[in-house]
Amino acid sequence: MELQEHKFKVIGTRPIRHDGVDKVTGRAKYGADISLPGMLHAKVLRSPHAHARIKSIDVSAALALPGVKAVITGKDLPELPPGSHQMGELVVNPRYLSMNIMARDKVLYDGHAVAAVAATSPHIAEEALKLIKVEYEVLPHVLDVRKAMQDDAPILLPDLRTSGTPEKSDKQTNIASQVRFARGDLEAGFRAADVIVEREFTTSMVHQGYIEPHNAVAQYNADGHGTIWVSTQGPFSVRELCSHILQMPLGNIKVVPAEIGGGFGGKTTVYLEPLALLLAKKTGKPVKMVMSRAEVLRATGPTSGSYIRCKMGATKDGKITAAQVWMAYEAGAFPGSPVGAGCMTILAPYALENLQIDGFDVVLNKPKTCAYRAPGATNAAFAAETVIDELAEKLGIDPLEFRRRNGAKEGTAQPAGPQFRRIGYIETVEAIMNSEHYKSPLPQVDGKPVGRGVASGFWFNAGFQSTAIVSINSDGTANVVTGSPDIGGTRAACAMIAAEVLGLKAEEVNPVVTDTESIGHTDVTGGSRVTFATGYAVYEAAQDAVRQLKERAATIWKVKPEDVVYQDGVVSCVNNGHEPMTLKQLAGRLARAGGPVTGRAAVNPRGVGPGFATHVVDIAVDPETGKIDILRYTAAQDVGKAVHPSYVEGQIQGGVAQGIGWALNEEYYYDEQGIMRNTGFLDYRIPTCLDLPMIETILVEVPNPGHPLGIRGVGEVPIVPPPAAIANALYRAVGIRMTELPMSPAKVVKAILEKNNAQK
Amino acid sequence: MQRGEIVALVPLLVPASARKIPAERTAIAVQTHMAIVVIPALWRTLTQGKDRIQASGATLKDIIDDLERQFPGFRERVVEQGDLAGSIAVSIDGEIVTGGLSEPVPPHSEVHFVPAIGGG
Repeated sequence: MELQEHKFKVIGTRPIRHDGVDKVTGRAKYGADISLPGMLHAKVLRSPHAHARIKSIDVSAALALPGVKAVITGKDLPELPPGSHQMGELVVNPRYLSMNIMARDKVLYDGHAVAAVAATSPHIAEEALKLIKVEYEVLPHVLDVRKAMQDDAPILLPDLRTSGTPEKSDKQTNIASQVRFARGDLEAGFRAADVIVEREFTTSMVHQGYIEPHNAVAQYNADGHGTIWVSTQGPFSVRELCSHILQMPLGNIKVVPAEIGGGFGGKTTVYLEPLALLLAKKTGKPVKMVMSRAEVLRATGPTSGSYIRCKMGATKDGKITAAQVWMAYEAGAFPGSPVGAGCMTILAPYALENLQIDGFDVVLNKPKTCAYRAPGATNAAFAAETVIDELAEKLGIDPLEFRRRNGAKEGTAQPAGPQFRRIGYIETVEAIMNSEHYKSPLPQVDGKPVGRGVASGFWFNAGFQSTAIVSINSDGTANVVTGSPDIGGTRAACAMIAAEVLGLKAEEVNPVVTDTESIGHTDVTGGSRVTFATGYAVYEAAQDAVRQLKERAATIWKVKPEDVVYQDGVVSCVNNGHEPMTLKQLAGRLARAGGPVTGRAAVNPRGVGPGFATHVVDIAVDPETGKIDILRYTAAQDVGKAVHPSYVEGQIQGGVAQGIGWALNEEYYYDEQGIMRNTGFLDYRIPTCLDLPMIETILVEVPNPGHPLGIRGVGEVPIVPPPAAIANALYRAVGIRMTELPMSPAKVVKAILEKNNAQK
Repeated sequence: MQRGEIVALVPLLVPASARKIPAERTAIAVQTHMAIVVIPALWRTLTQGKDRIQASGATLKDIIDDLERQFPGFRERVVEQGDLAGSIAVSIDGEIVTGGLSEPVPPHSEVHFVPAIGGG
């Protein structure tokens, strides 16, 4: 059955999510809810210095404390060879990852793990941490990305050499890699421009801000097999990473994903899992580890702060003629910032002939960065979308019209070179142009300056590997089993896809997320891939089940399977004389017609459809305090095919909320010693529902031709435009171009005062 | 357009067979199993500054072997431990491919080597 021409009966509706009742009643099991008989509790000792050599660690007093069962340090972890590996969507250097989860000869950031203690209670474990004596030799540290690139910067990793450069260098450096995209004639392009704008931008390190801290419960059996229960976006990644870090056979590790209280990319790696498993091995008991909020902020991957220089030129009729970008992203203590993605997304919404984009991945004394929802793209869009807004303003062209004139479409070359297939960028621009929000006048607020801003954004989305099983129950209902933890409603989406193929109602399909021993390999829940790729696997598995159902019916009717038709949950025979059967009727007869029906599929699909978004925001500014209030926000996004529109809208609203926090308040604040000072949600200020209006959404459905249901990923692109949209709105409110994130009240007031003083 | 509206556009599903191949590619890649490889900017010192190179081969491995033959040193930028480097993704005619070095490369294709990107 080709569904492109099919009128959907389930897809596009809004059934109640299958996991909803458990989650709102508190029955859902999260990682910290797991409890096993005889379980110990473990805590981590963390560095109080930004950069220091570890001269010695004495754990004897800790081990002597009653209730302490084991203490581990970096010496207890195997030493690994250098080199990176592809693990699904992750490219990982296991040696650096191991050094991050437990320091070896140096600590590289405030909060870097130094030792871990397992004890009979979490309180005893915490007391034992105080008894561990660590002798440090404090070293100079560096917290600024451009300073870290200088020749005289303190070196974090003596064996690090810059990769990607034209010639190999043997120089010690903090620049882990360089990337460049270039085409056309940049100089000629700028010569052809009537207006050129060039600005510098800085953004601060920000955290994903998931409500649920990292956790893990591990058990190690005498036969060398271990089990880990964990809040994770990728149980198969946890298995593989633990296998590498602990040098255990991969098949000896079972990972059971718990429900997850937010991840946004931050739970695609490991921090506690190998430590919990190692402590379980040492003690012979299950071990539970749960991070505090301070640990989450100090020692788990935020996303990069950055410095970006962006220069663009355009003709007076609004055609961009050239663009040049230089960007440096903070990697944290080990290489791996999303600067590559930043370079590839920054100008993706636009058709450009002449461009050069240079990006640098730079290590410095902050926690190792991890993915955060469209990693690298938000920083980049803040720069480019602000410059584009300024170009449009100088040319007297409506900012949306300017984007439309330069908008990417099918066949446009991306900044990295490949041409887009069918995309919906211009449709999102037009959706905002035609929106009630954009056409309505600006609201007036108590005499405060108000402004309206727009911005666009892009994210690739991902494919990668997924497996699914669809089995038919004897009452005609179905089970769908996948290995994709549900962080955004994908259980419901998978159930709906299976229901559509099988001709069932969504509530007649039971979606299950299972462990690494009960389903085939499935890459992480991330990269906006699950509805696309796992959904693809579910679609194929359901089709496989349909094929088997037709065979069973053929057996019953003694006809050829090709004479059986399955449509809308009913099997019928093309030859008359056989009464059609509903799926329920057929399911009750499977045992004597050939056996159970279990469809399966394992995919690594191509045809990924990228996502574009255009947003408009109205703000009011209090010129005395600098506080920015979001008055109204509308996000238009090309979503391919919205399987469950409520959850697509939810993804958009959630991404926008995070983008607003990134724009207005969130930043890592370090003192001069390199110690993070805002390690809690009181001072690391993420938006609450009191800060935001209802975020309006416009779902633009331009089906992805690479997917049988037209699906595109939707979860990441919404976080990309908000900082630039708000900055552009602020300009229209008070005439100031903010080039630093966050645009916190103190910075806005300072900018307003400087502008007022300059005008006097 | 109203709040929460879903705008469904008529799907324009263009089969692969209907995609037009740009004239410059057919003019350049006149032999069978010739593809155009777009060289990443920082690697163009290897190719004397050229950004588009014609390479022959039915698979990505063959293409890389031909590029190595033309420009020694190319292979080590994209191949690690006998497979496509984990940090590299390959796009053929705008689609990120998944077959590694065994990936078939159709004639007249445009091949790009780009950083491998995941997500969050």
